[in-house]
Amino acid sequence: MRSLKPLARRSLLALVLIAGSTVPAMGQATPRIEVIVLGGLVGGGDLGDRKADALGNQAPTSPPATWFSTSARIDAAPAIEGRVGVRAFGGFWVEGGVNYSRPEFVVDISQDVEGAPDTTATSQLTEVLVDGSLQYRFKGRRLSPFVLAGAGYLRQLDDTRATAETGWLAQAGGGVVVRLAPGSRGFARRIALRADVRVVWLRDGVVLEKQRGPGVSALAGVSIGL
Amino acid sequence: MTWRWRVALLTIALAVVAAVPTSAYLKFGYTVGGQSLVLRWRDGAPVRYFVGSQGGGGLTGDEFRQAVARSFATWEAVATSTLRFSAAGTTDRPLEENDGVTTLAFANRPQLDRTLGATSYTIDVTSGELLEADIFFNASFPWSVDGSGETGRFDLQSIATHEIGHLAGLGHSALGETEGFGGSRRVLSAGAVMFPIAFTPGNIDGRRLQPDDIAGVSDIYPSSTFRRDTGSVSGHVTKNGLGVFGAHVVAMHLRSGALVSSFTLDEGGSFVIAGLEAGPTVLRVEPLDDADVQSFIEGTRVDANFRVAFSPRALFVPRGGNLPDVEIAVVAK
Repeated sequence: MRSLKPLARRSLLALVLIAGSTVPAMGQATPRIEVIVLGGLVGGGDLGDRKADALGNQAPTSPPATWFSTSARIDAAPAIEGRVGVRAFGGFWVEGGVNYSRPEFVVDISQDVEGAPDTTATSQLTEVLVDGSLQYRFKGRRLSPFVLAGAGYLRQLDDTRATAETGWLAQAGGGVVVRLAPGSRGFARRIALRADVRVVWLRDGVVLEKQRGPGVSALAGVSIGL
Repeated sequence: MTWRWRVALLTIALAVVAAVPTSAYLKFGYTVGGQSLVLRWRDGAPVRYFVGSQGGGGLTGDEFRQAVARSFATWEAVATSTLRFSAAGTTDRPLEENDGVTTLAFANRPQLDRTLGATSYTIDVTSGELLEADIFFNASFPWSVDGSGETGRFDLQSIATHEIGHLAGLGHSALGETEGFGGSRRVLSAGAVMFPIAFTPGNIDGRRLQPDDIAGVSDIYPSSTFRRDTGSVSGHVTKNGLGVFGAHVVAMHLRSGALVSSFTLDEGGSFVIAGLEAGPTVLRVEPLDDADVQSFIEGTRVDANFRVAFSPRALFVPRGGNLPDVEIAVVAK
């Protein structure tokens, strides 16, 4: 660990233990497998507006008469993610990940025909994203930028766990891997920090009239080469 | 008058025939020994009905029969309901209760100057089974069967669709907004064919069932898939910690916009809304103040002294199940 002070080395060791990694085999030139633990924010999305429409009283047919209006969204939420990456060839890596978060499903209710106060109705969802992605990592001694793209499965549970909505996701983004001790021969050489930003398109799941637009997730954590 | 009450005789007729109080949650109920029985026709056979041979209110007998047939077909077209009807022919006999014959006919009753039509029943008080239901249409009003409606005339098909809903066992829906008008009430908007006050003459929207009507008839005569594919919500409406009797609870499905409603029908303020589409839903609670309370439920205990409110909880109605314990607190006006 040429560039790290003892305190930093202790910190990295702690991260390894938290990640639950087994002690890696020594002597490989470049790790072929990475275990990654990330935390950050998963973006929400606008679910659209809907009016509670009845029939107005006109002849011969009635125009809509709105009793109240709703606007729904899913808020951004903290998330944790575990990933496993396998170097395929050259700079290409194949990754699989599981992301867990508890976003709020929020419905703003307004413009009540009888003057009820505006209300925000909420329900906490449990959201799980499972993805498979292809990553291309640019060469670098200490910093390795990368781009990734992938697709996966979405599952959302309501707060009572009685309703499960499923769907699909596609994502694309980029980030950077920062090796903490690239010149080291020891275990520290296998440890890196990683951060990425992805644009995530969720299809189905908890949606209303229209599909959600793209959301952004930003995650950072530690990667351990095996 | 651009509106008419259609419930007075209905309620009176039911009281006379049954001689006991009625209650309602979309469906008519009948209380025996403290247990509420749902009024419904026996399964397995279509409901046979006769139609009066005479027209009225400017309609010929043929126009009357054809419009009534279209109204029956509207209810039969509900895919999630097994209720079926069978036209047994025409009759010249006057409407007569408890003769075992279900009949729809015109009658000239100018003294009922707020009643376009009414339905009366004969029921088996031990089971709640409907044995006979008669519908009269008041010939003292001007009627129309024009496909586009006719100014100044009530649409027979719309009113027949409402009354046939009663014939099926449905009570009144409170999905409507009204305003005071000349000592009475005028409809501003409605979300159910079963709302007790008719739209203005010339309007033909009562020909189309709304989600609340469909949920109601399907709840009484469910198809094999109805309970599996829909869900329900139950809970309580409270004020100052005590249950509210007679609150109108409306569920709005956030995907479809469908509105389906029910009432709190006990002192604990408990409610159940069945036949809901699965998925995200919000609830609104309002007092029963848009029509005569007696149009819906026995009104002596109804508490209408509270403000409209929404549930602070966004709900996910489970497919094939019930979401319990939804609590909505309201405050006095």
